[in-house]
Amino acid sequence: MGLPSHATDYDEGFTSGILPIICQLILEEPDCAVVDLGTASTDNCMMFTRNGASVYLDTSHESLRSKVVQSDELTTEDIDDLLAYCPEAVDVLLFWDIFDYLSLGTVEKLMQRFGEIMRPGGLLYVMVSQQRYIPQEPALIEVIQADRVRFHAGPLEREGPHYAPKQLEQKMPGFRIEKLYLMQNGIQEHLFLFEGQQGD
Amino acid sequence: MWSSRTRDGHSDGQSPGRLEDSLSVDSRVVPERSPIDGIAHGMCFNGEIRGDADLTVAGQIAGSVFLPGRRVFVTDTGEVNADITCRVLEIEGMVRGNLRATDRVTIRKTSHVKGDIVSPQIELEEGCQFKGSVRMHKPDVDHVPPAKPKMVSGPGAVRVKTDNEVAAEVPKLQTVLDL
Repeated sequence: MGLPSHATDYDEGFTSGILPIICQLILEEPDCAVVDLGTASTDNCMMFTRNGASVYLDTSHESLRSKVVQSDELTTEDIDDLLAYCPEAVDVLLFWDIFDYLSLGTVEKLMQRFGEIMRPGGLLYVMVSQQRYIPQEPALIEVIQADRVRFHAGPLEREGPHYAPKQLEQKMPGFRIEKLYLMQNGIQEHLFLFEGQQGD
Repeated sequence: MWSSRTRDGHSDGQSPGRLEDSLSVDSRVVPERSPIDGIAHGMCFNGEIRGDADLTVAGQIAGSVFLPGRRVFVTDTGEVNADITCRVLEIEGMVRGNLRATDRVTIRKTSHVKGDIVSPQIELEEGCQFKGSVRMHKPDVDHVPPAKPKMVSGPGAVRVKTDNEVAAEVPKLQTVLDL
């Protein structure tokens, strides 16, 4: 992984305005199903599996995090593979900074499928960098406390997409912006509430 | 089931075949207090393992492993297609199945694991290939259904071996393991 050279990688981490809400939901809802599509470290698992929650994760070479390093487009087969290991009903979906590495069309296609397994009232967590440049690949994001995260990322070498919150909301039917928080390192946290897809 | 094998696994005077073809154990329930505590590299076991001993898997297992209160170690050459229930589980090889450990599960960086894990302590080393779910709490290992007995009458019936017959086969397997 190497030492981070990102200007914002401080050892003490950065305050998160959204993670405490997610952790609170997990504490209040026994048997919560959490799908972690990003970091997947043991410490993060421990944080999210309190009170009996199940965390679904993929650290393999076929993981979403590995795929987006190669391309910002995902095929239908890629999405099928992704959903194959997810539970039938998801309460919390953690995308971390993955959206920074996906085209808007792929975001739309992906979230259409995830909308089919999200429980109404479920939460989606997304980070979008507001800085001009982002690392070549998604960061390893470590949850050090319920309200604090540490980023482990490479140098800022590629231009970020700078998706606006409304832009993302329009591409994700059923998901509504619930809360936004701009972190000290220029990362915008988004918390989306899933209200259900049309016809639910 | 058993053929004469030399120490390196080749038949006397014959070209080397697949070691696992001749050394496979087909659908046997290992009795309690079995002297077997490991599946060596090149060995293939197909069935259910229950008992009161630690287990090291360097070969292949298909079926189920139920060793509550015991330690199971899957080496980097081990391949397990089975649900595992034990006290401590450490994996360096390949496992497909649901894993339940009353103390802890450790997934090493050389491992490939697909399945759901339930254990109060879980460690995923960086670099491991894991796909599935993680739930950190102590599993209930008291309600695992016992081994389903084979039919003893009617169409498709298979005669159930007696404990003595199964025990009589164990020395043969041990002989193979000694090679």
